[in-house]
Amino acid sequence: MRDPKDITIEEFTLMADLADLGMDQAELEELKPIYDLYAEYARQLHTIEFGSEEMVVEFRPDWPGS
Amino acid sequence: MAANSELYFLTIHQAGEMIRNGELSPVELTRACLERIEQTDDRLNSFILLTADDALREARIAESEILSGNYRGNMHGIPFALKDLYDTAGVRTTSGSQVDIDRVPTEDATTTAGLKAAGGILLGKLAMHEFALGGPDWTTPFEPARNPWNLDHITGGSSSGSGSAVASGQALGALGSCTGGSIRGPASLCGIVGLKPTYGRVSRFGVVTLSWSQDHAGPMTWTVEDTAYMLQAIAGHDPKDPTSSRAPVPDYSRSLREDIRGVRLGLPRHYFFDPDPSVNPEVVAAVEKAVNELESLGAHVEEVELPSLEHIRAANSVIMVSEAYAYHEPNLKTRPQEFGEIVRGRFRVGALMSAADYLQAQRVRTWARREFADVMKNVDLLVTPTMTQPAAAFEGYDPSSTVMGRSFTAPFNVTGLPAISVPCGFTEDGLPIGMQIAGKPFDEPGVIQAAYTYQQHARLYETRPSI
Repeated sequence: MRDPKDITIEEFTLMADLADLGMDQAELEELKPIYDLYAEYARQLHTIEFGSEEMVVEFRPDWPGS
Repeated sequence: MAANSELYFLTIHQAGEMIRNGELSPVELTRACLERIEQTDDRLNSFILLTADDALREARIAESEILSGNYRGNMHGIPFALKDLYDTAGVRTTSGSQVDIDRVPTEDATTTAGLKAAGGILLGKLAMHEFALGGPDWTTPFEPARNPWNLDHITGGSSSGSGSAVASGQALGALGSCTGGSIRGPASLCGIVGLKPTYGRVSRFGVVTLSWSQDHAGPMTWTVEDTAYMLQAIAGHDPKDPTSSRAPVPDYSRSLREDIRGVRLGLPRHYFFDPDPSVNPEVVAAVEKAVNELESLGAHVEEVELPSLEHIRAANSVIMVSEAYAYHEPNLKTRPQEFGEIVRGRFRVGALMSAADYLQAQRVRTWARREFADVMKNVDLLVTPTMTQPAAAFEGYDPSSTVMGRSFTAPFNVTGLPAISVPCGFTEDGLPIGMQIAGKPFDEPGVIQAAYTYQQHARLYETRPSI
């Protein structure tokens, strides 16, 4: 993943448009530093070496309430 | 600091004994709390809504029931309050937001109903950070709650009013909710006890969602025994909550024993105790001292390694905003201006996280759960500071600081393990410090017993804030 701080405001505007967030330019510029904080966390998550053990996202087939 | 001589400073345990013995009327106690609120809430801002008339009516009913010999237990006739995201039938529930400013639920949350069924007297609805995230935020409709130990300081959040109300004697107990630390955080910063139970132990039905898979409901009280009593009233399986556990509910009052001999305490020093720019050394020193005291009382202390801790904060944050966006998306798109600035921004970030980000966070969760389970084969409890810092001053406070640095509470939201914060000292400036004790899944009894043992030894509950 790219360093969030390298994402330009134009690219960030496109991302927000694709997500249909309906934000004006002032809001986008205000949001970008907050996005950078969270995106850095997301980037961190993609750097983890889990090793040989499979780290699954679980699904349980039992019916609700059972 | 103040002594505990006033009626409104009675604990649930003390008041319950007096009510049961006919020495105290629930009406008298409820009036004392309402007067205390009237005298102090212009400075504390703990309450969003008072239900004084309903409270006095319920207190009279409780009094009549008790006089008739129908005493229901520890919570009967006890005034309590709710963070304003617990649904209350016929009573406005705002989640601290303009978005829900006129929302009046038709049904009680299961927890609200549990406390009422136990005979509790609802005083009103408490201040909170909007939709349980961020804050304090002056762009929401309500003034932020203030810390009773120093009004110039924050309470912590998001259960801000719960912290200030209980510490100041406005209510004998309160419920908070917790997705990354919102029960233990304000408990630690306000010098009270707060318990985040095991995920699934307490129903989330009727508690407005922030993050389905990380939200927990739990009690905030002055003492550990009061937390045990409130937990008893709200714990148990709820068919209305699909994540509710069927694990049997023990009698938590049996854990109110001063005995920690032979209990194995694990200290993950590398994350919670070793120097870090985001951690206040005064906080760590106070918890080190408390751990030494537990050791002197017979506990065995050993260091443990949990490498996943370095990534849990990231997982907690990504899961939180992703799930929050999914829940709030319709309102964010149709009336975004009704959200406060902080929450609107953070929720919108959730729309910009990818599926791969969310799934990677869930994989970290799997890793952490396995790792904690492995380590806790050899220790009974984990002991840590609750917060990285004491309560910050409002002046110059940057709410985005809560997004950065270490989180000592989030690991137990990600893993779902039960964790309590119990007061363990004060800073030189007189601000409270909390110690966190976490246990294995559904070992609330072990967590409560350890916290109770420490509390009875330290006796910090004898001193209240002066306000």
